[in-house]
Parts: sequence; C-alpha cells; structure tokens
Amino acid sequence: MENLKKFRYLFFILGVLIIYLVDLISPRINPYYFQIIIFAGINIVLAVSLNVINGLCGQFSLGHAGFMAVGAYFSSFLTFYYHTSFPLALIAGGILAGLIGLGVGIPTLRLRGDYLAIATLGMGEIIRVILFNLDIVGGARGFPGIPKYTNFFWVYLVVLIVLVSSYNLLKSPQGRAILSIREDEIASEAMGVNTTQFKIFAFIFGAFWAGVAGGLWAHYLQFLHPSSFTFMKSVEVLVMIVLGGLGSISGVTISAVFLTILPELLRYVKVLFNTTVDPRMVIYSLLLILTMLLRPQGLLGGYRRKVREQ
Amino acid sequence: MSLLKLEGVTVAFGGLLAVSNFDLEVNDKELVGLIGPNGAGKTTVFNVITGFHIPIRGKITFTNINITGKSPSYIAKLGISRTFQNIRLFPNLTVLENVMISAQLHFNISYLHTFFRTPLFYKVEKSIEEKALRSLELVGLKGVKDETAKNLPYGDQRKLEIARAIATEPRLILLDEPAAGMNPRETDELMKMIKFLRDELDLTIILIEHDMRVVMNICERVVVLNYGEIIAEGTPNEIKTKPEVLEAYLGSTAVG
Repeated sequence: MENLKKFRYLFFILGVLIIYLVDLISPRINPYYFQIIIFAGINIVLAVSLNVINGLCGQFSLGHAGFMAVGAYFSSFLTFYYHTSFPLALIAGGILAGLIGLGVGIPTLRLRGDYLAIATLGMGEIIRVILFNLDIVGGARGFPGIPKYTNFFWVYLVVLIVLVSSYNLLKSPQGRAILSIREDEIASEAMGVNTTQFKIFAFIFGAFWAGVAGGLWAHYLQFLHPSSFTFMKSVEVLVMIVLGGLGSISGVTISAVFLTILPELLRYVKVLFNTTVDPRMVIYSLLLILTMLLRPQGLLGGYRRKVREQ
Repeated sequence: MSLLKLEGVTVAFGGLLAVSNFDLEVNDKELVGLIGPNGAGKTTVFNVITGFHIPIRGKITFTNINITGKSPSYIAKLGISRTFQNIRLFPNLTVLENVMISAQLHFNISYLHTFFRTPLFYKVEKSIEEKALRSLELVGLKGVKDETAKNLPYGDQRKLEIARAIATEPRLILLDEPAAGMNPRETDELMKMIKFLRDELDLTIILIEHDMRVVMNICERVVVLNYGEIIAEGTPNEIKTKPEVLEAYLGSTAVG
C-alpha cells in the first residue's frame, strides 16, 4: 500500500497515456462497437455520479436526466454559437448543472426519501419543459448541427477522473461524513457532521458530472432534443446503480457497462425469435425484479463494505 | 464555575409540555444522574441540550456560550457529545470508521487535498485513525476494529457508542441509558469505564439510567424528573429516602 501511494500521480498519468494511445487506434475500431464503447463510458460517468448522491449520501434523487440536459444544452450552446473549446464547454456545462443542483438542493434536501425523489423528479421535468420552449436552442424542433468533438480520449479521460475523484472522496473525511448521513442522519449530526453542507456537496458533485456527461453525449450525437431527457432517462441510470449495488463504485461501473451492452445484445434476440416486439424493457424489468429478489444489495454488494486493508 | 446551565427550559410537543421550567447547573467534572419514570422527559432534556429540540422558553449556556436553538453539529463542535438510548451506530460501516467519523471533528482538510491526495491528506488521515484507535482502546474494542458495526454483540455496540462519543474530544458527555440490556458483569465494567472517563479524561458526565445500582454507585448528584419537572435533587443517599421520589416510582399508596 505504502509503495503504491508514492506512485499515485504516476499511475494517473499512465492511465491518461493509455487512453491517448487507444484513442489513436480508435478509427480502426468497428464504428458500431465504437459507439457502444462511447455510450458505455458516458453511462459510467452518469452512474458513478448518481451513485454519490443515492448510494453514498443516501439521498434518493430522480433528477439526473435534468442535470444531464443542462450540461448537454449549455455546452452545445457554447460550442455552436461561441466556438468555445470543447473541454471548457464541458466544464461550463458541468458548472451550470452544479449550480442548478445547488439551487434545487438547498430547499429540497430537507425532504427525505420518497419526498425528495418526487421533488427532484419535478425539477427534471421543469428543466425539460423549459428546454422545450427555449427557442435559442431549437425548442421542440431540437438542436441540430452540434460539432462532433466527443471522441474516445475525452470520454475516457472523464471516466478516469470521475472514478478517481469518487474513490478519493469515498475514502476521506468528507466521504465518511457523507456515508454517515446515509447510515444515520441523527447520529451523524450529533457527532458534529454538518449534514446539510455535505448533502449539498454530494448533490453538486453528482450534478456536475451529470452535466459533463450530457456535454459528451451531445457532442457525440450532434443533435439534441428535450424528449431525450425524460424521467425514463433518470430511471435508466437509477437501474444501473441499483443493479450494481448502491454505494459500490466498482459495482456501479460494471453494471453501467453491462446495461449499455445488454440492449445491443438483445437486438439479436429480436432477430433470433423473429419478433417485432422490442424485448429490451421487458428484460430490464425482469432483471430488476430478479436482482431485488436474489441480491437486494446489488451485484457487487453495495452498503456492505470491505474490511479495510492493512 | 458551572460548565452547563439550563434556565427555565421548556419544551413542548404540541400542547404537551415534555419538559417545563427545567433548571440545572452542572459543574466541571461532575457526574450527575438524571432519573425518573418512563416518559418523564429525561431524553428530551438530552435532546434539547444537544440541539435536536428547540425549547419554547428558557436559555441553555455551555462554557458561557449561549447554545439555545443552535444546530446539533455546532453544539458537538463546542464540546458536548452523547450516546443514544436506542443505539444509533452507523451500521454498515466498520467499527473503526464509526469512530473515525467523530474523531475527524476537529480536523479540517479541504476538498482539494482530498481529491489530489496530497501528503497532508495522508498525514491528517493517519492522525484521525490514531485518535479513533485510542478511543477504541479505552473501551476495549480495538481488537474488532474491522468488524461491521451491526455485527457486534449488543454490549459491544453500547461500548462503541461511548467510544464514538469520546472521540469528538468533548468536555461534557451525555450518556442515555448506557447500561440498558447489559448483564451484571458488563454493568460493572461500564461503571469502571464511566469513572475512568471522569477521573482520567476529566470529562463532565450526565447520565440517564434506570439501573439504580449504577446511579447509586457512581453519581455524585441525582436529579429526579417526573412529568417534565424536577421533583427532587440531591446525593444518591438523600434521594433514596425522599417521599416524592418513592411516590413517582412506586405510586402513592406505597408511601402511605
């Protein structure tokens, strides 16, 4: 452990280098597979960031699609109209999403459980309706002509940063404070944890990365429409983290990849049985029911933490 | 000089006065017992001191600072810590993590250090862990530090609550029925530990307890509460013979 600590920055640079090298050969990857790889990366960012809010802090948020929409639209707006550089636009989209997270978080984080879920759901819908009526970004006609900046390098650089930062957050004084809120909010307050402050931080952290993921998504598809950011999109991300195990960063990452590939594999099922029905949502639902019955703690067991290594 | 002072504190739940006109002065390094029948308002007193209830009247001062209506986390930082009657651990975290959460109270480290894992981060993290381990050693739980809290036996969970409470480096500690559910041998250990906290760590202690053996043995002063009001106050021996106390506990016919 001690030896690995010394090389922590080196490992990070090595990770970036590997991502860069893979990016160089990415034009030779089959475009269909490449698209799945990109979506898997974006889904990892979405799932890991929602996991900080729902899994670590224990606040049930259903507004992730809303934050994603804010990041997607704002970064596209910047690159389309002002030709802002891509990383800057991504960060700006994330920051705006984070600010909206702050604005929504302060009044709603007092609510608990299902009440917070309803409030965040409402927030997501409000954002979508606003986008529907915002003419400068196309409104109901959609937002075409977004430059294609998203490539393997940017997606997986963000994946690397979001994974490292969530892990660093988890294993830290702030992370423990956030976990203690999930475990017992009253005891947490009594031990001197300023629960409001940490809940809002978790919310902003999640919203920021959802915004960045939205920016990546927009600059890959090159077209945005408010209907992509419905409540179902939030639920999709929620399914990823519940399946992976609330609170488990590795579990959530694996399940994000798995649930990106699964619908693609299910296309073969459709061909195989020669049906016109898309079995995707049926399998999704069945999977959730089965997980809840057989492994309520998720694939890699969230909420059940490993013994600390010595 | 008094460390904690409650003057005319009144707490109401709707129309019910859970605690009314409550006066209490606790001196430095005193060990005070708070007793009374079920529903007398003992836990409410703890909740109002630690900021979980806001009194409708009255004033609470701690080390000459007015803490009436302040947030629980602010009060904890000032140096009041507590345990809970119905154990409130962080069940899915390890024993060590449970204590580290309170041990980190007086350490400040910015998010920047956390995200970039600077050398300072590791240094602070190590000090927090060492402090947590010292607390665990005091209650004798160092050996099970990697166990998940919810898997501990009941008596150990109570001890862990105490370890967690002292890790915040409090001056005043409020123990809410620490002996509940303990067998006589565990209770003896607990009494030794409470005395140790007061004598060696110089803590001031207020104790709610139903086990009279504990109250009579270790408390210097006992306050008896019934229907939210103080009905008697004095040394354990004085309390034992007061008719009001007997009446509250046993009913009026027993006195007559």
